[in-house]
Amino acid sequence: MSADSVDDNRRLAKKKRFNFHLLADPELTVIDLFGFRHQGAGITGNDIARPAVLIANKTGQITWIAATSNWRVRVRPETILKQTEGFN
Amino acid sequence: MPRHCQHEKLLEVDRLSGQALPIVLSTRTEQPQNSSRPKNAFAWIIAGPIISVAGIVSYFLVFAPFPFLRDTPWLNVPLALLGCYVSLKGIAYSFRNRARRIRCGFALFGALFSLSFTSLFLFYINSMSYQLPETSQETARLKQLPEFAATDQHGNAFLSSDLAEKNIVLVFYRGHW
Repeated sequence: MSADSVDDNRRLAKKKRFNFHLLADPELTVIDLFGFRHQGAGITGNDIARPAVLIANKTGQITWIAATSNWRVRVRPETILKQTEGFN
Repeated sequence: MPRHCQHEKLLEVDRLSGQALPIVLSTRTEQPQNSSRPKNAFAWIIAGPIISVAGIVSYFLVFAPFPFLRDTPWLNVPLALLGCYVSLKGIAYSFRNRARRIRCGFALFGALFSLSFTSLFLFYINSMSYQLPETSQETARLKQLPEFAATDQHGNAFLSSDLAEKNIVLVFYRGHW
């Protein structure tokens, strides 16, 4: 999920051949719901989301939230997979 | 006349007239030798900024997709610093050998450029990218995934309830790809 438009996400998904949902939240409604707004950090000074990952199990219970302290750094896939161990 | 331009002259006596005739044994002018001057001093002046720029630009264009090299720029910071070192060497060569003013100017400008560009990069790496808002208390208190709606890349409405009874990994990213 990002503050990018649907068109931007469509272009990216096509280019990278993503087969998962790439959600657009240009109004930052959902991003605000989780408190991940980063004010004025966009290229044009617009608000965007900070890098973060959230994992929820089948019952909707949030089991893990990670927001890095450095926006160049992303949570690595292996770290996410480790957090999902035990999920079925 | 400088010493290196002096011609070595000897006198030879004309056997017939008995007059002394000057003969020039060597007309070649010897340039002063300076072993400390590199033949390619100008290359150092040019190479410094090029190495710095290459080290920094390649971080964004080449290495950013690789987490190991993006999180900590192991290659790019040393490259940028190497560019600064080479630029400073260029200054040293230029001034030590009393190069032309324009060359000294180039050396100074190149070093200033390398140092400025590298400083900006280090600021970006070590300070700017840490400027993030604090995670809100509400985020920390979230126990249950709230209901939300968004639009996927196909333009379809997406509801979080669509993923009921499924494990969910929700990744927030900065975008602008």
